[in-house]
Amino acid sequence: MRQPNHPMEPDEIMGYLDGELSVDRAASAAAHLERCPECQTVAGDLRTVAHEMLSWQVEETRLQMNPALSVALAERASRRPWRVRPWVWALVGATAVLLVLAIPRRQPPSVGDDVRASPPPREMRSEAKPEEQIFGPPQGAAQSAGYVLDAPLVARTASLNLTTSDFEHVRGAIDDFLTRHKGYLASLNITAPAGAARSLTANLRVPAADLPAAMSELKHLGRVDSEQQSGEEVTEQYADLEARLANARNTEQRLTEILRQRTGKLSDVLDVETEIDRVRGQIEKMDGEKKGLTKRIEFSTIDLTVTEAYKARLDVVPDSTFGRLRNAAVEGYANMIGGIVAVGLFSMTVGPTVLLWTALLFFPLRYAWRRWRRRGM
Amino acid sequence: MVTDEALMLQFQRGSRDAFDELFARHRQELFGFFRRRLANRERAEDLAQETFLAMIRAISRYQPRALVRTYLFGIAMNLLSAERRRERIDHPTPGAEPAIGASHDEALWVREAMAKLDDVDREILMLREYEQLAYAEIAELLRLPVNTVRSRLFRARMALKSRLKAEEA
Repeated sequence: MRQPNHPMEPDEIMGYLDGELSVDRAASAAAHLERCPECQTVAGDLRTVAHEMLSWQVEETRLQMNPALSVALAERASRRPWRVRPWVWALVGATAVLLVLAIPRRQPPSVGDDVRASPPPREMRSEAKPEEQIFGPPQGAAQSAGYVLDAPLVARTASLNLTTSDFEHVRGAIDDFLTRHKGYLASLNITAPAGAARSLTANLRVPAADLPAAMSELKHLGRVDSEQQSGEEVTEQYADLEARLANARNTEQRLTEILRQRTGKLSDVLDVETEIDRVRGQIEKMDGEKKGLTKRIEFSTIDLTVTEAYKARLDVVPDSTFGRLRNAAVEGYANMIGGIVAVGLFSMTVGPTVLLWTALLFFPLRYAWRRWRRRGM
Repeated sequence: MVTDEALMLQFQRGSRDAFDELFARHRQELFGFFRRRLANRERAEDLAQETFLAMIRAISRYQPRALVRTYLFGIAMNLLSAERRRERIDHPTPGAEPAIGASHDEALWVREAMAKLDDVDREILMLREYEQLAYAEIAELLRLPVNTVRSRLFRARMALKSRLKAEEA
């Protein structure tokens, strides 16, 4: 039983032992505790309880981050918002407006522009390495390309129709041309119908910077019937593709890291592996798209059609008499059959109509004829 | 040594290393928090992970107004309440706390004695003894006045002491 005017409450002694009292109050409690056996008992009890409670210890955990945690971290890293003060935004906006007003705007070439008048596409970080091959692009050129997006990326195409009197040399000239310009042949088709002009259709790819020179050179192969050049700006497409590719690669890297730590359940690990497969597929697809796009930028396409200037040939060698007779007989027979068939076809085609009109007009005409005859009599 | 609060701010700015350090520092005490209150070890680990997950999701709103460990125990306390609600729905049989009711080690009497305490008294006592929280922090977590925390803590300790004496007798 506590004395009525006890200067210190027991829970205050507890507070003193727990370090919860202010400095002054703690000093008072310490002084009081030294001389109060009752409070010393309370303090002893509290220490005993604390000591006994410490006997309940939990085992050490080998807790590692599970996939959900790693994914949440990865997601947070990928969408971490920029915390920028409003005045910074205002400053950035003002600077942007000034830049827009100060820098002359560059118009991207539109379809149908004369590409020869425009500068070559852009500086590449790595030069396309030429290969001495005709079919297929130079190895390593498209793959290694990466662009600094400070000027429009343009994929150029041109078409050229020529007529030549020296068709025999066209094929060889094209091969020489491709070797010289480090280009390649995407497709080639030559037709040589009997009794008609031969023609060559080819799809040529030459380095974009060489396009004007290449076109001039090709025109020497014959007379130009028609020419067309165009350019498609693919800057936005390329930038978008690169951004998506970079994001997908980051995601793959993070997922691989998650898989490496693999502390979760088996189903979680399998989920991560499935996700990695999906992302890898996306990366490969986008990689392919990027290579295709890069190839279109680096190599201009020329659709070339060369037609032979046809001269009808005169056959001076006469056929034999028997041959001529045989041909005449065959021709006569064919004409007879043809005539019969033609009459049959005509009858079947026109006959029903003739019969119809005859039936319709016969009686009126006969009546009219008879009246006319009666008047005449 | 970088403080927890500084690490939290670094993590808020995007530092993954800061999070790794916080995870390493607090995983054991969070696991202990849940392990002492739940029977299932795996569930305790899951909830410890969920505490960090909640921390990641809320990091953009974090402000260093309290100690990080208090902040984490606040999240843990909410998760524990949700877990207990789920347990009550799944297993409506009334009874003591699962972990506290368990009986297979040397701290048996402590757990049995604590199981007999009032729920709030027991929580205050555990937060003080095992999580080493200050009275004010316990008061904030449990939304109680500090004086109430102190008086109930004293009551819980004395109850444990009398049970210990009964055990010894």
